[in-house]
Amino acid sequence: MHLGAGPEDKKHEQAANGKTIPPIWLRTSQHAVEVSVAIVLLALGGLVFYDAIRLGPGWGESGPQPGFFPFVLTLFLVAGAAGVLVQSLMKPDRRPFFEVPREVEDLLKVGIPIAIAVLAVRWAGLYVTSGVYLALFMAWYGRFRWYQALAGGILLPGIMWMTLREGFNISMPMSMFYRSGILPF
Amino acid sequence: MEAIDLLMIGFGALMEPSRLGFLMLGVILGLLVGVIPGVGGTTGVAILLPITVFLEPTSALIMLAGIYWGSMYGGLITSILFGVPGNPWSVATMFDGRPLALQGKAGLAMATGFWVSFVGAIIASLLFTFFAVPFAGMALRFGPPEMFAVLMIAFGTFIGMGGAPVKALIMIAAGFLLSTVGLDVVTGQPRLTFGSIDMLTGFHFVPVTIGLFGVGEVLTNAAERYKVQIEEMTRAAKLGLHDITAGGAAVVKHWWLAASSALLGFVTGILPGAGATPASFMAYGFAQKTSKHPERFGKGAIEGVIAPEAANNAAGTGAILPMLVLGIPGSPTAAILMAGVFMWGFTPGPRLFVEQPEFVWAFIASLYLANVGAIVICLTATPLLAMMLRTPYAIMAPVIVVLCFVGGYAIQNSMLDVWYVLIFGIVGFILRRLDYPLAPFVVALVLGPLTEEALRQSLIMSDGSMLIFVQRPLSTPIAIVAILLFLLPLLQMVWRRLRARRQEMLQQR
Repeated sequence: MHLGAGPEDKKHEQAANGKTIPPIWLRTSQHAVEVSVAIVLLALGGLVFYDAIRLGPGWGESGPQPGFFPFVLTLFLVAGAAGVLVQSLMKPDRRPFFEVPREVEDLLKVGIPIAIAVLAVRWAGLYVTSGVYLALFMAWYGRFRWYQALAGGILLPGIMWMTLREGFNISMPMSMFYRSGILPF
Repeated sequence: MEAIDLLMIGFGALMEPSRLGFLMLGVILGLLVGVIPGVGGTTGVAILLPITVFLEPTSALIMLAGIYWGSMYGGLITSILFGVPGNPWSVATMFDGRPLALQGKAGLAMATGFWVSFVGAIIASLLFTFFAVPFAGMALRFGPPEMFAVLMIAFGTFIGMGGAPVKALIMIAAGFLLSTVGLDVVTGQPRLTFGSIDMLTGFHFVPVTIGLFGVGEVLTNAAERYKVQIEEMTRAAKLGLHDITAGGAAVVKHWWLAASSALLGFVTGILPGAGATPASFMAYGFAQKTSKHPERFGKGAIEGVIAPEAANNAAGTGAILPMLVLGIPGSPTAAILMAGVFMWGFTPGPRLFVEQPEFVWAFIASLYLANVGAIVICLTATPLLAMMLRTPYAIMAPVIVVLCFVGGYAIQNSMLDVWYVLIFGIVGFILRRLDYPLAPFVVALVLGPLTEEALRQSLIMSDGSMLIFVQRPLSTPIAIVAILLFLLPLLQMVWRRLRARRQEMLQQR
């Protein structure tokens, strides 16, 4: 019984045709991601359910107990996630999640620096991180000249410093140099 | 009429060059603070309040009014240009404002937003001037049951809002659940914290929203850069004065929507505890429900900018009314203003109208003037602001991300919030790809705590009886409207089935 081309059949087909098999992130279909998200939601629902029971899911003397709302909401969440799961299993959306390799490339090129920047803020403080981030991004992704990138990397923290620190006195994470007294930022 | 005479006296007190100068300064400062994500609104006005200490009362007053209004106008700039909400009441503006910017129409969106903010604030100011006392009486009778009923209306307008209904339901439940994390309001027990101290603060909606919409937007744009580049779209669109006139024309075309949203916003703003934020969501929901093309919302419908912006500025005006007349601030930002009023030696409340009429009417006159000042500055700046979208992506993306970090951190000075920005950015990217509607999630997250608190307080008042909502004179009509709104999709479905069956029977004959 031929149930339609699944991922295994496609792989064999492509290998047989002599084409290179695309990497896993290009072969992921919408369906796979849908199902994964639904499962994650179900798991989260289960976690919350457990805590809601602990808090008391019923109706006390003067209105709902603390666990009442989480309990009811979990029911909705789990019902909804189960509904999505069933829907996707019945009519799987086999379109690829990422349509062209360029998508993943650009996404990683932009996303990974963001992740690194968040990590860096803790140690380098917001001002230094933002300057370095902008300068490096301009030079690497935007292919700006080094002096343009440098200008950007100094201007952005400068403007932010003037507005946030001097102007409105809103504190932002400072670098470890600040904490040890070497630099004012 | 007496009110107009007093208003003229108020205007007279303000029309001095130095005072007008302070007004403009206040507006510009307010705009700046409104633009910084996460800081706009209450925090921003609070930060700028000390500047006014050194001025004499009327100048301080007009400057504070300028700051208050500037921050109300400023939030929509980052919402539309970057998709990062500048303050809580600009989140609804972002739903349609950002798609408009992505289509190259940032100037139009902003100009429309400014114009309708002005119209909303002026309508509210007029209502304030002539109907201050009756509305104040209404504010006094407003308690938790009424609050709950009003919030139910807000939710009712969001049922059926974009995307598959099942996914919208999941998003609403998830948003509500996220809002319950932390300490329970009534009993003080930690909920959903799983023993972690860091989770006790819960999920503040600002970092979550900035992550979902700001960073999520950056990631989505990155992935789609092979298809569409914002700089190209903006370069293609002509920038200039015609945006300003087009914005004005859009408001005139949808004048009824603008006026009704302003009225809705004004009434919501008066109610203590419900400020500009719920007002903007309700107006958006109603606009979508009553529109002829509801499917256009979320993709760049100009009504989606008009409704929330009219409502939030009107609500901002409305929030001052109970503050001035009763001494009960209608919103957190109005509470800051009240602090200012105390600072100058006045006591807000019923006696103020009687004992210090010059001050009160100068204040009311400042509502009008500050708005005029704000719109003049904003409209002049609109082409310049829209041009910002022409900057190369390699500069824009890091700047937006850094703004998101600033916004996330500024709320509670917590590094954890910055992590939330990143995490919810990734989550937002995935959810968007899978057609999960983000708007219901945000609305549930923002209004969830208020709703639960209102419900539980009401039930404590009534000793556990749900009938309290229909026993009180003010909450009964509101509750009925809310119930009807919830039943509406159901009724529509039943109606359609009946009609289809009737047509079948007619055809069979």
